[in-house]
Amino acid sequence: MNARVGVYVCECGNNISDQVDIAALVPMLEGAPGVVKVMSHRLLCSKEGQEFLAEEVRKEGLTHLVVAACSPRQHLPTFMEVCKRGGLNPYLMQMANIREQCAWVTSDRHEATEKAARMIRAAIARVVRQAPLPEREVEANPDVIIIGGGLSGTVTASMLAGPERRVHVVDRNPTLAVALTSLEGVETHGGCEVEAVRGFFGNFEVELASKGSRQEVRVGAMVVCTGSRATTLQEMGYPGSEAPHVVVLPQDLEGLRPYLDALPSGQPKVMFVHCAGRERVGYCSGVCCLRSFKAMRWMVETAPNAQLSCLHQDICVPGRDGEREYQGILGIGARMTWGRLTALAQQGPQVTVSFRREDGSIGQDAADLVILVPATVPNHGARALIDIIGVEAGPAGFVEEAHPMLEPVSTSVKGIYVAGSASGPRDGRATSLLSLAAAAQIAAELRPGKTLRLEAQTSQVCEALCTGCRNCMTVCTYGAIEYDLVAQTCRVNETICRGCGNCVAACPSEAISVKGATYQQILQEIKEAVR
Amino acid sequence: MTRNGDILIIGAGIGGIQASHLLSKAGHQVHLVEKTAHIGGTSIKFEDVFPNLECATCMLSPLEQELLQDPNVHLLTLTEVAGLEGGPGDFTVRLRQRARYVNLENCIGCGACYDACPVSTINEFEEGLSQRKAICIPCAGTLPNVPRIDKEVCIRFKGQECVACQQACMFEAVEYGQEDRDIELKVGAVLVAVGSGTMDVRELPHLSYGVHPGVFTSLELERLNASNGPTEGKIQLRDGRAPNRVALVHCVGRRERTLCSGVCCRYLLKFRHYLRHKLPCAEVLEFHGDLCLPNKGDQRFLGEMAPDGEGLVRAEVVRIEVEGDYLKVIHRRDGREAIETVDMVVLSPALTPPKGATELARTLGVELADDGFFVVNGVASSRPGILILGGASGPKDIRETVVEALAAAGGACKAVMEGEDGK
Repeated sequence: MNARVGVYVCECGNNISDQVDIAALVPMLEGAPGVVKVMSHRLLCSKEGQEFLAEEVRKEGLTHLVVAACSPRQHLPTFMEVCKRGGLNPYLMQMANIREQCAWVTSDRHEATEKAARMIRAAIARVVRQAPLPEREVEANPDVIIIGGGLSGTVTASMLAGPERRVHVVDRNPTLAVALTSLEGVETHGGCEVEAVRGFFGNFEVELASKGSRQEVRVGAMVVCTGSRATTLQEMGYPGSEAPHVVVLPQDLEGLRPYLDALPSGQPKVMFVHCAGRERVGYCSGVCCLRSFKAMRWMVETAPNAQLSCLHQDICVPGRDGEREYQGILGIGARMTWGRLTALAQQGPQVTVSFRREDGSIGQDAADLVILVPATVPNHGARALIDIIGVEAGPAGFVEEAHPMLEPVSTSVKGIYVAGSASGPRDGRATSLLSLAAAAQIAAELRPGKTLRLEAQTSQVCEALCTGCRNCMTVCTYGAIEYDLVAQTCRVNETICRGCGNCVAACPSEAISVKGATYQQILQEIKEAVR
Repeated sequence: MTRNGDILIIGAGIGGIQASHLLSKAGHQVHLVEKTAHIGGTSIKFEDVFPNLECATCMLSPLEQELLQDPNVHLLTLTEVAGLEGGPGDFTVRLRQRARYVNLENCIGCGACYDACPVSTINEFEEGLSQRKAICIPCAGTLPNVPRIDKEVCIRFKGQECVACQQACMFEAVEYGQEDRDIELKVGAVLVAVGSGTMDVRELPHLSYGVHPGVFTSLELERLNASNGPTEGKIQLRDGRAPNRVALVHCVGRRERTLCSGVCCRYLLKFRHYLRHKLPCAEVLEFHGDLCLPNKGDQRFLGEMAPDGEGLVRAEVVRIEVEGDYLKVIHRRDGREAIETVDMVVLSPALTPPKGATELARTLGVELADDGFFVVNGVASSRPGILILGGASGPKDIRETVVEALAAAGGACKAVMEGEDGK
C-alpha cells in the first residue's frame, strides 16, 4: 500500500505564525515523498481543531500523520487520541515541535520558516518508516508476597488481604505474629527464605526454601519488608566496649532493668551516648535522638535517683514531638555534652568514657552505667535477598527507592515494592505510613480482574545480526533480555521491556532497535533535517 | 446505602497531586480543589531539591501535565470548601469557586493579555520581589498555563472601561461576565493536603527583617535563584548589587515555636550550592545549632556542600544590627558574643500550620492541636473519612509528604469501601 501522509501545520494562534511564514511554508512541504495533503490550521489542539483533524484522517484515508505544532510534552497524548478517533494507529503520527524548538527561539523569520520546513520534512521521513504498534495488555495475578513479617509486613498484609487478593508472608523466623496468622486471606510461610525469583510485574514465580523443602508461590507483586536492626557492639568497634557496665539501648526498655537493679545505691550516674556506630555506618539514623530521650524519661520514672547525662552529637529531632521531648530532657536537668565517643574502659565500678569535642580536644567522663544509642543498619540477610530479587541497594545496604521523593515505595524493579525500614532507618509512625503507602500503591497498580498495559515501543533483536555477546543484558536495568542457549542469540521479553534504549546503544552489531526509533528512521530523519 | 467512590482532595501541591494520581489509577474519580489559580503548591517555587539537587521543575512538570490530562481528575482552581456534611462513603461538600474571567478551554496561554494590561501590582508568588499585571500567571511555567484576572486590582472591576486584555486575546478567552459559583458534590472521603505556612519573621524584630533590605527569607532566596523568578536566577540584593558576604541563619523561630522544622538544615545546605554556583566569589557563613540531617543521603550532602565544615559556625544568632549598607550578625559562640559583618542575611523561618487552618478545621469538623496543626493518628483525622497528609499535620519534606499522600489515598479507598475511618 502506498503511503498517504497528511501534514498539518498549527499556527498556535500567532505563536507560530508570527515567526514562521505559514503561507511560504505550506508549498515547501508539498511534493515531499508520500505527502498527499498539507494544510495549516489556527489551533489544532482546540476542540474544533481536534475534530477537524480526526475528520481529515478519515476523509483523506491517511496512512501516516505529521502534526507540526508545539512540544510533544504538551500535546502528544492529545494527538494520539485524535488518531484513534480518526481510525489511525496512534504510533503512525509524528509531531514536529516548530513552536518551542523553532518559532520561540529563532529570531529571523526567514530562517525560522526554513528551519520549520526541515523539521517537518524530517518528521515525514521518520513517520513513513513507522509500522503500526499494537496496544498490548497482559493478564495479572493480583496476589502479593511480602518478605518479612514484622511491623511493616503485618500492616501491608492487613491492608492488602481480602476476598480478591491472597497475601503470602514469608519470614526466616519459624513463628509469626498472631496478628498475621489470624488475618483472613493471609498465608504465612514461617522459617522460609526466598531462593529465586522469576518473571515480572503481574506474573512472578517466587521459590521459597525451608529446611529441606521447596515451594513455589505465584504472585503479581512483591514487597520487601525486611526491616532494620541496631548495630552491635562488635560492629561499632569502640575499644573497651566489652566492659560489663556498657549496654546497647534495647528496643524494649524493660531490657534495661537488670542493669538498673545492679546500680550502686545513692545517686548512680547513668550516661546515654548518642551516635554509637555512626562514624562506621556513615549516616545519621535520624530516629535515635528521640528514642534516647524517651528512654531517659522512662529512666527518670524508673530510677529516680539516677543522675542522667548525655553525650551527644547534633540532636536530630525533626517534627512536632521531637523538640518538645528535647526541651523536656533539658528541663529535667540531664547534663548534656557534645562529643564523639572514642573509647570506653571499665575502671573499678565505673566506666570511663573518652570522647572528642568538636574542636578536636579530648574529654573524659565516668558513669556507673553507659547506655549506647546505636545506629540503625539493614537487617541480617537483607543484602542476600536484595541480590536474589535484583533490586538496587544504596551504599549502606538499604533498598534504594525508584525515586527518593516521588516513588518512595517502589524499587528499581517494576512490581517489587519496599516498605518500612528496609529502605532506611524509620520510627514506628514512618514504618506504618510507608506500609500503608506501599499497600495503596499495589492496590492501585495491581487491581484484581484488571489487565496490565504494556509498553508499545519496546526493543527488538534481529536474530540474524545478533552475535550473542550479551552486552545488552548487562545494561538492561529491567532484566528484560534473555539469552537463548539454543539459538545463541539474545531475545527481548516484551512484557518487561520499557523501551529505554540502553541495549540499542550497547549492541556492537546494530542488532537491537527500539520500535518507533529504528536506525533507518533516525538516519533518514537526520538526513532530511540537515540536507 | 450505596457508597460514593469519589474523593475530594483539598490542595493541589505535591501531596494532592500524588494522591490524585494514585486514586485515579485505583479507579476513583477525584475532585481536586485548589485555592489559588494554579497547581504545584510550594515545591514549584524551588529551583533544585535536596539532597540530589534535582531540578524541581523537571521533576514536577510532567506530573502536573499528566494530572491536567487525566480524565479521572476534576481540577477546580480558585476554589475553597464552604461546608461538609455526612460521613465516610456519603459526604456532601459545598464548594465556592471564584471566577477566573478567562475561559480555560479557549485560552492557550500565549500571554498576549499580560502585555496589554495597564495595571501593575506586587507579585505575591514571587514573595513580593517583582510586579505582576492584573491578568497574569504567577510565573512562567505554572500550570494550568491560563491566566486569571485579579478582581481586587483590575481597574475594570473598579468601574473603568478597560478592555485591554480582551482586545489582546486572539482566542476570545477573556470573559468579564463570569461569576463566582457554588458547587455541591457527593464524595466518599476527603483528603486534606493544604501544606504548611511559614512563620512571619517580622515577629522577631531583633533579626531586622523589613528594617534592612539586605535581610531575606529562605523563600525569597529560592525565588531569587529561580531561573523563572523575578531576577531570572540572579542572586542579588534589593538594589541589584551582588552580595559579597552572606549569612545563612538556621533555626529562626525554633525556640518560639518549640519545633524543629526538619527541612531548613538541608535547604540551607542547598543554598550553599546556589551561592557557590551563582556567586563563586561570595563568602558564606552558616550560623547553625544542631544539624538535622536524618536521611541516608544527607551526610554525603553535608560533605559536598560544606567540605571540612567550611563556613559552618556553630553559634546562636542573638540579633542582627544595621550598620549603613552592612549588617552585623551578633552571635554567641562557646558562651561569648562575637560579630560578623555581612551584606546579605538569609533567615530560615519555622514552618507553621497552614494559613486558614482554623476555618478549614471548623468547616470540616476536625480537630486542631494546641500548636495549630491538624491532629492526626497516622494520616487519619479526628473525623472518620477525612484524612490529613503532608505539612498540614506538621513540618514535612517532599518525601514525607508523598509517603503520606499515598498512605492517605489508600486510607480513603478503605474509608469509601468500608465506611471506616481509614486508619
